[in-house]
Amino acid sequence: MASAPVLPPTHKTLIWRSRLVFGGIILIWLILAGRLVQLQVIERDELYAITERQHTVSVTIPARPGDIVDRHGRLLATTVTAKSLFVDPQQLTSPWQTARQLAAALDLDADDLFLRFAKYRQKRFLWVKRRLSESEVRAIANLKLPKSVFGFRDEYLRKYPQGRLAAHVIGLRNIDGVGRGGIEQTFDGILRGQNGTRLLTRDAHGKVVQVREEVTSAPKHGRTVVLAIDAVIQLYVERELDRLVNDWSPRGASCIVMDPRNGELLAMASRPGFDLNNPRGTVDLAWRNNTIASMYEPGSTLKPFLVAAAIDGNVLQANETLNCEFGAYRMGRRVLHDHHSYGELSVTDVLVKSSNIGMAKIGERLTNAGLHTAVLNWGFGRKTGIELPGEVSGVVRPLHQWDHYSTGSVPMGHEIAVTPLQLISAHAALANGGHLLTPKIVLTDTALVSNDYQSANDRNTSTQVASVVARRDTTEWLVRGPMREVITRGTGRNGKLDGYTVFGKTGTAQKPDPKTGKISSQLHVASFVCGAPAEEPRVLVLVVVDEPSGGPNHYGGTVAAPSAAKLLRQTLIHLRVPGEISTSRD
Amino acid sequence: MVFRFVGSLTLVVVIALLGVALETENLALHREISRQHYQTDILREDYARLRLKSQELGAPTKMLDDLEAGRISVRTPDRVADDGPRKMPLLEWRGGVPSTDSEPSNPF
Repeated sequence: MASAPVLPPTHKTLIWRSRLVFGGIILIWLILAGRLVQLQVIERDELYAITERQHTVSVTIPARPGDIVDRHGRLLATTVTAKSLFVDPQQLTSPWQTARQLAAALDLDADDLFLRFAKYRQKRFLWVKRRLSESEVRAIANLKLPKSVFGFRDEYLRKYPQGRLAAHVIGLRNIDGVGRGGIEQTFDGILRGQNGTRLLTRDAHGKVVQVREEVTSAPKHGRTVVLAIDAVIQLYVERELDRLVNDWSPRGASCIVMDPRNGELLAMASRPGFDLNNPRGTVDLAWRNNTIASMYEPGSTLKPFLVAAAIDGNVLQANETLNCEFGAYRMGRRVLHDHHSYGELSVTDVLVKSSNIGMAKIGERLTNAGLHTAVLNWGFGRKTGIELPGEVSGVVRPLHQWDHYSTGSVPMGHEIAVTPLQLISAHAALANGGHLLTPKIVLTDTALVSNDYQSANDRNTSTQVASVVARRDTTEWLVRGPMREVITRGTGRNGKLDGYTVFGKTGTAQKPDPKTGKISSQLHVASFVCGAPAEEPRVLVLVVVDEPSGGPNHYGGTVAAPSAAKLLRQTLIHLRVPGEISTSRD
Repeated sequence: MVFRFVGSLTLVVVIALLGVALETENLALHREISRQHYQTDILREDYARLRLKSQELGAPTKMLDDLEAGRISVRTPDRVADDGPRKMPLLEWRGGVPSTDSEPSNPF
């Protein structure tokens, strides 16, 4: 059977077929071109962002926190690099075995570590311990764990080479490098610096193929803060407070050493304290800086300010005498008493013998309004403005809440509450001729210290405010007269120093009993403020002891005066302030 | 015609080679800057560690008690390296009252 012959396509068919193929190619090209336009033009930004996200990784370059140094450049806080250990939980083949090994090397709880491994089993990153010591790093290396399981990252570690010294002033940085308390918190912004960033391009396997220089920003390292304190004077103070705590077992104690000429704090310490390098286990009470965050009734240390206010207000003459009623004076329904029975006393003797009745009579002349104005004028009832966090204002009740009791109580330092810093700032104003200055814990003129590092103090310290609160002749008379005689023949005889003319004032205030809410005859705050030389005061020292126990009595002259005088002497010698009598040539 | 063509081709090649050379130099400088940053970081870290160590060893908290008790002997150097004013005061462990004629100005 013969097959049908295959006829060649006709010309028309060929043309049709070729047009079909050509049209198909054109269509495909059009589709491709359209897709290209869609990818390259319409969705370009979105796709570019996705690509960038997949290929680019941003790495933070941490800024090194700045140092804190004392007024002579001694290092109080600095930063070094330490290694932090992490693991990849997904790579752990035997979590319990690894947890046991790591716990033994790092002094951790193995059960706790194992539970963490189990909890974060699906994660790729888990901190084990941060900021290891060098011995801990060596111990980890000796375990010879698989490299895929663990790794180290460098982190900054804050170190405090002076240990417990000035702990409340310096403060701490937490695990994330944020300042908490003290200068670390106040100046966190400039101490921390600014982190930099680096953009890296990675390939499909995650390996870095390029460091993109054009978008890399260098970190700005933290700057140095120069404190006004002197580490040696601070050490004197810390040792003396430790001795006070040992002798008197108080609830708390604090001490401030100040240069009254410019308000600079040469030392500031509080007890109980804590170790900056090992703060774990610190009792709650120790976190409080008693010099600025605790307040108490100032007692007799307040009296010189009210005498100054009375003299400047022309209601009292410096050379007049006051009848102290032989130890008992009725004010309305209240009978005031002195520790000893006095008759006529000069104004000087009212201060030297710390007569409450004499002061009450001065209070009557000033009236409540005058007393209230005087107390506020000397800076009580408001924050001093020091560059430390946590300062409290103290308590000065509004005038309308004062009554006839206040007229007798306030002049003897009751019914108001002050912080030790407020009190020494006010005494500095007495010592410098009547200028109440904002106390300074950081130095403004850092050129005095050193020029081998840049300091940020000049641009970051608060402005020092000075206000005139008393006449110079009044303050000079008070310092060289009554307050000098408090030391030579008054309640502050324990503050006497050979070779220096010391002035000062004792203070003993009763505290309310927290159980009964009434004033206790057992709980006291003993304080003593002193300075020298009386002719041109260079140093002021305030020691406050909260609830001393034991001993014959809890008077400021007994508890606080010996320590304050010892610190005053050590500070004067350290600063090479010439004394009255030359006993040696150093 | 050929001369012009070869000339223009050579010019393009030379410019391209110059561009490659500049890019190479640029990358080398980038690498050098990165290395210097890295070295600076190492030096800064070394400086911090050494400064920390020296300050720990000479800290008043470590030395004052021994100085006061006389357990550390203090020797005066034969020759003063820097006769300018002292920036940091020496510890006054002997504790005598300075006289008015001993040193009139603050030595720090």
